[in-house]
Amino acid sequence: MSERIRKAKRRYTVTTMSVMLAYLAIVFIASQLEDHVTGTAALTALALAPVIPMAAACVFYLRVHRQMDEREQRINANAAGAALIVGLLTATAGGFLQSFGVIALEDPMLWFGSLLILAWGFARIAMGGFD
Amino acid sequence: MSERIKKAGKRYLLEFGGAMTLYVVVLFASIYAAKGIEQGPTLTALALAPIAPVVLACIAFFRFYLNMDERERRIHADAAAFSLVIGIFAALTLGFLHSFGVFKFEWDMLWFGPFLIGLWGAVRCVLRLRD
Repeated sequence: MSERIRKAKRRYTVTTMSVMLAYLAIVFIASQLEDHVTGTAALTALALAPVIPMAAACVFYLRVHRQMDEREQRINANAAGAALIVGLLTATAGGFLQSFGVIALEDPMLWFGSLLILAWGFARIAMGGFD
Repeated sequence: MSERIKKAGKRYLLEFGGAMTLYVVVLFASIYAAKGIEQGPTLTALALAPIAPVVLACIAFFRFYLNMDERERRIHADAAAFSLVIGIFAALTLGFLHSFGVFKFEWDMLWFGPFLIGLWGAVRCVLRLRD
């Protein structure tokens, strides 16, 4: 791995960690304020506040993706394909189980987003190791 | 496009079309059969039955993917990476809006599968045009 890519990866790890810390802090603050806020506009703003660090994380990811070498890009993209298929099957299965009344999930989309991230991470490790 | 890829594309269309036809049939049969059935393994099996044709469609896609040329594989994989990032972002946004009570969409999980497929297709078209 070249020094340039190593540097880009290090920067990505640091920025992503900072963004994730900001995410946790915002989720905590927003959930504390939830009960004290009235009015749809304020509640919508509170609900969307944790999405801002997620958007930043997405931008950082796309930036590091462009800086990766050909092999890394390929592993990431293939892992994303596998995670997308897993996500598709999970969403369909979960959706049918819910609509048939077999399970009742509280906030399923929140968990589904996290599941997609995990599936991508596992697929990346399976295809390219801990590189 | 080579004759081999053209042939693989035709076979994929047939297999995928067959799987989707089967999906519609199984879906309606499951909905019909589930009427009046109490919670239990039978209802779970009926709820999960439409997943089987989706799995067949995924297998058909994987076979087609293995037969694609390098450029097409790259477009598909890159489109998957972009779609996954957008999908994660969309799932978390919906999840937070739902959990804060701003927005309540019944069966959001069920619609998220087709949303991911549509998104993947749209991103693929954009990448192909840019390439």
